[in-house]
Amino acid sequence: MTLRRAVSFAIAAGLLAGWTHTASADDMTIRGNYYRDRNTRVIQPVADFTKEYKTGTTVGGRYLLDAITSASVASGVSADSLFTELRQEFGVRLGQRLGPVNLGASYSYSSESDYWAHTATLGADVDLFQRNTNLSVALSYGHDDVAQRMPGNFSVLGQLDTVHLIVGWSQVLSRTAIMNVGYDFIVSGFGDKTNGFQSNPYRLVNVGGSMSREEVPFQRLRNAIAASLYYAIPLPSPTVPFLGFRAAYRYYVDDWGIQSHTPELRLFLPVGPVEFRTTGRIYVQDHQASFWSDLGDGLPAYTGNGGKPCTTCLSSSTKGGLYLTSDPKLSIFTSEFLELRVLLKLRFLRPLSAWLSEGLFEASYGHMINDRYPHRAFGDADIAGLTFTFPL
Amino acid sequence: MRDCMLRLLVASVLTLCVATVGGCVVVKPYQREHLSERSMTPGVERAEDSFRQHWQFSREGSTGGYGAAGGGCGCN
Repeated sequence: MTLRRAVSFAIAAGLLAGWTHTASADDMTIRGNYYRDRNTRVIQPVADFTKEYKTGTTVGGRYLLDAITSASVASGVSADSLFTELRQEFGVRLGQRLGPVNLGASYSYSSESDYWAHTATLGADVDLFQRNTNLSVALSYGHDDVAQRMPGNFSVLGQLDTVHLIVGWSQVLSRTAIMNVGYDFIVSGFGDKTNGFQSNPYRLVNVGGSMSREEVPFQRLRNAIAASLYYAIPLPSPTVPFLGFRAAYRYYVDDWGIQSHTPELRLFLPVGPVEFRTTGRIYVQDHQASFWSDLGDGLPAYTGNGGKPCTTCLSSSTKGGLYLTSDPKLSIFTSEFLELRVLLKLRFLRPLSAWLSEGLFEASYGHMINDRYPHRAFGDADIAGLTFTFPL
Repeated sequence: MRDCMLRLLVASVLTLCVATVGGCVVVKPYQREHLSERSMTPGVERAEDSFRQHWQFSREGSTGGYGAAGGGCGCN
């Protein structure tokens, strides 16, 4: 058995980003995503559109289908037998511009055979100083139902309620530089399994030589702060008008004990109708969950008959329990990700179609490697995508 | 030592940002030729960003910080 299932905290605040000052294009995007690691393959077609009307009203929508193939205990085998499952997600967005203020609301719903998620988001942003400054806030609420589906058996195990607050500040610094700063505060769960179920129903843990089901706290308080700087170096060539950079850093900490640092650098190089983009990203998770346990070899295991307390948890409802996990994501590790994307502007199609000539075609490929236990559990990953964007 | 260096790095970046903002001038819309390029516009690539955060969420212990997140999957 490998991964997935169980928890997610469903957050769609990002949907709001679609109608803030950052992106107002009327377009339709058709994208095919591909992900593969040692245990899992995901093929994901997505359709997404945004349309802004003269009244300042923006509408948007999104539909995606995940075809997830993995070795899963839910398929009724112990290992090495492939099982494919589908996940569907749709979302709608509505926004209204009122002078310098943008108001927005969104809803998304995701469904798979043992996990259902609803997410609603409200947000607002305001442009200041001739649109040199943008301040934004978004609040999202999610409700998930978590079940376990085994051959001949189906049971609902719990629910997860999530509240996610995002505040952001975007600032034009000069003709060639723009900065973004954001802070996220996320409350996942409120203290019991009817509102904070976050274990993976299929993940087993070695406890004194026998296997037990994973048990993690019913609440998690997450914090993330991120900053990025876009900078363009103008070049004296009409074919290569500029060289662009995006430098970003994110710091994350939560009350389970996880802490991580994520620096990232992107380079953009437009050459005529083609733009090359490279992304390099390092993820350093240098603190593990306080209830993580291994026997010195990096493999998760607990001695005796019980788990470990969450010594870093803040709420009284989570402090008193003993917890078990073999989730690789809760250990100390580092990963590196490198990606190349090529974007082609379809201007050369103007003789055929003015509409098509406004479109974009993108192809990307990335590779991720990581170390320690996640390397044993997941291996490396390949990520690819094909995108066609055209105006509405 | 490593923590101290990271804290110093974060503090330096934030200080630089704040200091830079204090000294910036208002840039007119017609002066933003390069900033208006698609690649220099945050948040314009919704479908790509969403998928990226989706798989990162399934492989990393952290989330958030990018003003956006995928959601609704049992991919823990």
